[in-house]
Amino acid sequence: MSRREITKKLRAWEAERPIPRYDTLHHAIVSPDDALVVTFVRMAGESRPWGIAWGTAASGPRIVSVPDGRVRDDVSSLCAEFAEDLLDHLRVHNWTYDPAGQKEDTSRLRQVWLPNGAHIEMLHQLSYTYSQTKFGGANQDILRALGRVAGWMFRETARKGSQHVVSASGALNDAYVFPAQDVRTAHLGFQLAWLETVGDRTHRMAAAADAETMTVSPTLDPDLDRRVLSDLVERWQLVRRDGGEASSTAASIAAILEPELVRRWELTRRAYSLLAANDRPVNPGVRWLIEESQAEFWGQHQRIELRLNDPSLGPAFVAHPETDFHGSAAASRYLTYEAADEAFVGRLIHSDPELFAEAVDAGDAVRGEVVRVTDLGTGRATRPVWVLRLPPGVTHRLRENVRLTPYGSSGHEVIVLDLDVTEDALDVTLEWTGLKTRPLSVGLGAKPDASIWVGQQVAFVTSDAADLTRRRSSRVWSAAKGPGAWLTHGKFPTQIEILDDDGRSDLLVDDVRQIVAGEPA
Amino acid sequence: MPTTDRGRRVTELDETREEARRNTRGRFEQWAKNPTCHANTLSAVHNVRLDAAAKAAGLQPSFGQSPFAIARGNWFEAGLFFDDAAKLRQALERKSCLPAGSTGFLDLRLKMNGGTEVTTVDQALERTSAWLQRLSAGPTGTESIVAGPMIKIPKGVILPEALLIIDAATVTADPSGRAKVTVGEVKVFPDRGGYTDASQLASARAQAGIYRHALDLAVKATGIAEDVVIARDGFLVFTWPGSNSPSVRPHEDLTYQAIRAERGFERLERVASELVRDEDFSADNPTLVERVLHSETDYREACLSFCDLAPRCHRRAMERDDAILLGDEIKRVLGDTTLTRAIELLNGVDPDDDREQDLQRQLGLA
Repeated sequence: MSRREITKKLRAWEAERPIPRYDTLHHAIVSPDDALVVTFVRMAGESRPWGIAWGTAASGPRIVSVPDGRVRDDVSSLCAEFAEDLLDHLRVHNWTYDPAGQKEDTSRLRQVWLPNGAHIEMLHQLSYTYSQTKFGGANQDILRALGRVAGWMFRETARKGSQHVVSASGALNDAYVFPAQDVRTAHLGFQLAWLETVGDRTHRMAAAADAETMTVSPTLDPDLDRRVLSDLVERWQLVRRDGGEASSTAASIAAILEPELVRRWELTRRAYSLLAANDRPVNPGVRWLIEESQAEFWGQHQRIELRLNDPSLGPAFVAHPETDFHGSAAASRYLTYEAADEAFVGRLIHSDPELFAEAVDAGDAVRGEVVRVTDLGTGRATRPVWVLRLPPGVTHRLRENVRLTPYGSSGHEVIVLDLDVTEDALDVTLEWTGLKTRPLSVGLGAKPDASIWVGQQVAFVTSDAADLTRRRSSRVWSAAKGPGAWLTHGKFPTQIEILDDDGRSDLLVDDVRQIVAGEPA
Repeated sequence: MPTTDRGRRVTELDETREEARRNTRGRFEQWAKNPTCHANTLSAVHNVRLDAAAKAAGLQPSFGQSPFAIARGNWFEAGLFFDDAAKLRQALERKSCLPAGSTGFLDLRLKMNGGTEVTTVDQALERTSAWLQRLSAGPTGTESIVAGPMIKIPKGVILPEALLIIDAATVTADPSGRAKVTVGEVKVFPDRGGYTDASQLASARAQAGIYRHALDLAVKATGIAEDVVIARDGFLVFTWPGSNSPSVRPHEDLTYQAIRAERGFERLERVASELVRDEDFSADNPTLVERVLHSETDYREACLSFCDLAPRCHRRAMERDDAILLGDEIKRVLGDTTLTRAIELLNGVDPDDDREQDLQRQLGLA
């Protein structure tokens, strides 16, 4: 935990309430009609849903459950119902009249809000269960489509800055610093009680502690299982086995599951509403993050759905829920994720002073006085060079050849030519390389070669190399003779197929042995 | 004390001890979550359930297992060992944990745990010992899968005594021709490849490490350490998501997990010898609960994940204005400085001593 984070926690304690973590929100907040809130409950020890609540923040939830979450056919019918709305909401090809295209306006982003990471993991479970299911009868196609989109949604959450799937608890933690232990702030009810309760710290803490006793996880409170549900489910099974009428028992089970689902759904909607009505603006850099997310949705999901429907468009690579089984694909995705990670702060920092202050503390940004401006260009060429003087004790990660961007003027760029350490200062020589003939959009608003910059305080942040990393993610596909080709272009195992709903498949052997020895799986 | 009351207490004590036998691994893992808390140590050593202690303290216990989860675990395990462990064997052979065409299944599980022949703990210990002795003659003709071997750790490593039931073990031939025993841990956790829950994986590996350590001790104590090899690695048996089919994770290196177990048991022994009183061994459960409740505690964030007494410790931390209220990291930085004082220092009041001056510097003020 950094010094800044410790200080913020103490400030939150002093304020007796959660305080904003940054000056802007780092996530898109779509309109209530475009925010689908989804929550699950499942039987303890099981992976499939027992019940699902879904609906937009504007419309309210639709609640569907089955009497016993272990009965596969019942669960698949439940999931097929859910899939219809989810696929339509995300505008997935073949399942809607208005599919998302390759170039989409950022205003057309559709989000899915889930309470926390445990619910997001349910998407992965759905991917395992349905992406290659051989069952489901008339529902098989839609179940497979559900498995594929759930798999994409789950993987997408691992990409920094993704915008389609939102963990409500994660979003609140990104937006606020809570005066409490981090372990507890993973609980959505706990967070909301801190945020919404009126009164001093004692009142808020008491409300949060109360809220914490009600589980938000997809798994129900074991006590509820023990006291009520265990007997009811057993009775339902017995009646069903004997061919009797079990609908009243099923209704009793549904009546217990419904409030559990509604409670989780309402908590998530409250988190959405709280952020939607926030007095902080959404960071302007989020627009770029949305574009990236839409491009990812197209490239990693929508395009594949189109190909599945029309094989003449090319091969459809359906990602296995476990791994990619393909060295080049793995390398490319790794670099894509790395690029997203690098770009995230770079896109947001210019509009968020608190994020900038955090970067200064971490040595990723510096502020100094311009002491010299020269133009080393010859003829008509411009080559502005600055000497920036920093206080001697400043924390920094500067070294020669590091690229920096003036804070608040994204697009401009300098490269560090030289560092000169003296007793009372650190002089950094910077050469302008990006947009060097255009006026800066901060400070005096003059061009870099203007001598009026002398005497001005100017801040710089470390440039991200996301564009370069993104290019590498494409180039890795054709690097068959480059370094690391033994890994990225080794002998690929056959595309794994899940043979049945019990996961029968025989390709998951030993990755290292496969890669090193080229043994078939 | 009336005879009936004494009788009830003796019965209760016996039940407690019996449960302690079965629960050694769970108690060790509970202790390892917060080894510096005396209450937790005493609870683990004396097998005083934390939920019972919480109830005695007027708190509402919040941890526990769902009957659905227990049933799922039982079905899964029963399915694995059904029909001479055919399902498990197939999965193990597919992952090269056993050679193709392996044979033989030895069921050492207690009947109460789904076994077919063994009815008492003593019988299980006897049969496990006989099995190990047979192995010393080599792997030929021995069963390749063994369910539920029971090990009694020599020297009573955890009080009052340590019994460990290994979920499963395989027997193969070492290159030198000796029998090689590999331990396996069975869990109902869904195996989601690289996305498998990290804490579930860690707990399964840690438990398998305890088994490996126990087997090491057992073969040494039996005098067959030269004749039987205990594999450095082990295997984990999880489930395919949404199914009762096993998903085996082979070749899990347990070297460091076994070292962790060895050191942990030694440390627990040391700590326990300082805390445990002689009279504890003749004490009844309510007395031990009182001992736990009146022991020193060391409240941490980890306590929130397993200890039913955590709300009481949290309340005490509030009364003390303790930095742990904001988490382990803040506590590590602030130490014994109260939150109120830390905020005063943050707001620029003059420090009283070097420690406070240093704290101000750490907070970026000096």
